[in-house]
Amino acid sequence: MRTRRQFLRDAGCGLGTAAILSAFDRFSRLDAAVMPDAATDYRALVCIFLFGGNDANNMVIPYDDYASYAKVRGTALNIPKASLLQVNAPSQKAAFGLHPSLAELQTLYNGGHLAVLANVGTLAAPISRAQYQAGAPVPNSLFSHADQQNQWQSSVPRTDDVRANTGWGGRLADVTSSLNSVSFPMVVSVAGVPLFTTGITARPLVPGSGLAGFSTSAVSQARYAALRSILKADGSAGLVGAANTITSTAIDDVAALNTALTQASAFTTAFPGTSLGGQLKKIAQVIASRAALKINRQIFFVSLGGFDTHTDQINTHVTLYRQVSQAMSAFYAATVELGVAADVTSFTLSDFGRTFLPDSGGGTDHAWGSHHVVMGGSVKGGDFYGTFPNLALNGPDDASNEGRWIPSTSVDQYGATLAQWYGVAQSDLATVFPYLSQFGTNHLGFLP
Amino acid sequence: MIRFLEQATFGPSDALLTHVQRIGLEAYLDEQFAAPVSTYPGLLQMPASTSDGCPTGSPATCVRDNYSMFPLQVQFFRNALGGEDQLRQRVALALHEILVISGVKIQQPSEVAPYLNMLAEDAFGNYRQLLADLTLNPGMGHYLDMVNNDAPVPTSATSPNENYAREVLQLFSIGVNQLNPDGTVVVDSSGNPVPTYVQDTIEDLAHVFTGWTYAPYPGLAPLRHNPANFLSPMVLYRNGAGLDTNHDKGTKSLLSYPGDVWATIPANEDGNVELAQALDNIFEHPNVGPFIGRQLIQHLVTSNPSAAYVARVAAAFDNNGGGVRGDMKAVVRAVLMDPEARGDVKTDPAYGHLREPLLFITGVLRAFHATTDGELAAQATAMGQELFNPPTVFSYYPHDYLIPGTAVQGPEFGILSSSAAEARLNFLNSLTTTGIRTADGGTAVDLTALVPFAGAPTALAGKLNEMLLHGTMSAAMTAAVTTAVTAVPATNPLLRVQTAVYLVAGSSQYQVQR
Repeated sequence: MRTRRQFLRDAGCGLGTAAILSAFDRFSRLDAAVMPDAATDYRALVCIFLFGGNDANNMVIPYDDYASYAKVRGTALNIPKASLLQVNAPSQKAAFGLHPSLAELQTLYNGGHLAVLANVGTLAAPISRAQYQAGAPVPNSLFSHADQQNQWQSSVPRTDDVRANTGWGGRLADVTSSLNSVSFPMVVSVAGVPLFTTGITARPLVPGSGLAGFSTSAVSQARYAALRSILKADGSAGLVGAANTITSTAIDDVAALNTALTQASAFTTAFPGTSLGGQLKKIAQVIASRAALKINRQIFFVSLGGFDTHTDQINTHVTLYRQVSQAMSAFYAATVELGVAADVTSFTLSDFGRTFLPDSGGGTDHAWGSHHVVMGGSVKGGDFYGTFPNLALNGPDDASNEGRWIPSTSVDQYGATLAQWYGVAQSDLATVFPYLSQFGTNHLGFLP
Repeated sequence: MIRFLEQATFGPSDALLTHVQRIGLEAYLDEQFAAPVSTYPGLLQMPASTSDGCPTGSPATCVRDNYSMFPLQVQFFRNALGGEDQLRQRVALALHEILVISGVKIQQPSEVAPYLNMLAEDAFGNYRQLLADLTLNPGMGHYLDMVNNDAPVPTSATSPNENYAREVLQLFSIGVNQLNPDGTVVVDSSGNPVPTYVQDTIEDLAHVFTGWTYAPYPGLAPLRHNPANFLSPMVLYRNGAGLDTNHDKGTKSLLSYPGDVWATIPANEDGNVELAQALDNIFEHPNVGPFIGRQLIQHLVTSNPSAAYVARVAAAFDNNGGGVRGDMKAVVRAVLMDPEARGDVKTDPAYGHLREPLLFITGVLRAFHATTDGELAAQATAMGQELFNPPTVFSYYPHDYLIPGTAVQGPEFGILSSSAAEARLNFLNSLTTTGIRTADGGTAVDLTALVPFAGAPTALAGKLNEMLLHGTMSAAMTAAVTTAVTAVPATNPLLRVQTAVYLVAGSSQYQVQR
């Protein structure tokens, strides 16, 4: 273990002594509290949330059965068959085509590092079209952005269930906190403080440049001490208390992270200069500092908006999918370079799928079940999981007459598969996914 | 009085405080209702391609000034910091955050300015008029895709666009669940909230909103889809015979509620008539008062209003006292003059609201006599709020955001990340020392008025307590500020003032407006 002096020397320039001391205090406190059941290996989950509701109907398209796609999408919202990036799905005994802007994801799929999960969505319980039409229970406020984002992130389909006020990423962090021997936040978000990232106790850290304006002078240190004291002064209750806690925690944790980042392993993988590219690069940098953080389990959150494609979807998708594909590919390459490809699993979530029937204006409207991708060295890739929907309007999988697919797999099952790989105890699964027992299997098989 | 000005303006200043102390709150409200409107500039519509609009050789600022929200952001801060119509601009900001359009989708500031002027103009009008103006505003038409929404024909492979139909109900008027008059949610026997509409309602309303396009430019023949025009309200397309042939002619089932109007719209109506009926159907729904009223309370006064407070504001929405529904003057007056907004020091820890970054910035700048070029949006962005570029129609933060681990609502906490919390402190650090520097002059505060207090640290803390915290500073905080100020040599009075301002404005007691 390094001495206090070494730590201060290693901590580098740019931080005031106050912040460095704060970071040091944090580490020393952490070292004293080594957990008996802490993990010795490293694993991380990376949630990539596609805000707006991704129309995966144009992301994953039947190739062998292209006619069922073209019948509805053929005129207003068509991806030509010849442009599709063909992939084989042994489990479906059929070939499919990825959107032509997903070339990097096709490579990852064919390399066995990417899997497709078909027609997953929010559910109160498994439900058929006939049951849906007869009024069987469904999630509250289907087709609403805010509500469905929350349900994807909480895995709780009812607003009157208090567990809807926490996210499954946060609850997963709560129940696996002992896998880390440090109290540094398990959840790191570079896209705000969404529901996914908060548990009963878990709170996300959002990296930043750190507290500015402090030096080692006595005057500055007195101001720093006063700031810390004021941020504790008026308790932890209510609005003032919440702001106190968030700000105090931020000062400590951002300083600790920035100190660790100065000791991170360098990597040379180039990331695209896009929003998602920048976010995933930041995540890669945090992962590269895991040794300095002495952390064994991490949950990350990144996001990309713009998927609410009510109009002009063809053009919008080209830009968005290219961004997703290039950024995910770069991130996978960085994990290979850092030697953690098999220890990091990335996965997409989104508000909902979109109507298979195009709307006026070359777009689509809010719907329900959708396809998602899972990426990582441990992923049993190169195949589809779940059941691909029947693409007939008014067909057996349509909740309406516009192609709103009734999910055949639930968010709970999707999350539980990820959480079990991450290391959640079986006895804690129901805490993280309270409605999981409503559904058949709790493991979809795309991870060991 | 300070608390009132924090609720009704972009922050108290010495002069304003003196003025309102002289004339009283009611008279100040009347004065504000009548004050001339601060506006956003009329900007030129540019070509869609930035390389056409800003060809090689254009000034370096061409794209910034014509293809980003920058000029509107600058005008916002100028209006907020120097405008006389403080209450109108403050209510207009709240309305923008409820009735959202965003530069994330809309390319040019020229396309957003008319919407901002409309919100300011309608802020003290009637909500029914606001709904109509909002619905036909071309910025909104583009943002939520009501413009050029085609009626389906038997051979078409598309359905009407549901975007505006859904959000006008979910966000701009009634919300997803039925509400009691006090804003609490109506639940059924198994505890489920009772929805206000179903998917079929959305689809029928989407049919109502067919046939509208941009206003034609003078001298051009009207088309089903006119070229983009963001300066005039959208129009119903009519063919050479005057028929609205791009409007769906079927019957529609709209919102059904006790005392409803136009719950069913008959076949073969004119699109203009039908729009008015549909907006009446929405406007008369009993949810509008509590749904909109509660959000206005949250923006101006407190994140956690009592049900009784919401009920009083909703009652003012339902009837302004003269039998008029939707009178925004009556609603704003009810929000600000309610006993829950006025009265003694508030002790409930859930009272008040976290200042959103915009209000935090304007509050500090107005308190300390700032001079500014208005280029402050980057500061708010660092704190998590990118002005006029909210990420989605769900605004900058969720109005029902629960502070994690509590049952307390704190909408603005939805963007208070660790990074944003530190950005607030770092803004104060820059502001109290170097100022905010930009190529156009930047922003600086004038702290010299406080220098005379610097000789006595407790007096300095006391002065800031009065200015920023209307006398609510705790003993512990007073002690901490005094200690830090005393550590600064008395020979450096300005540094003493800078230290004190940083600490008091950075405290959570100030960040949360109570």
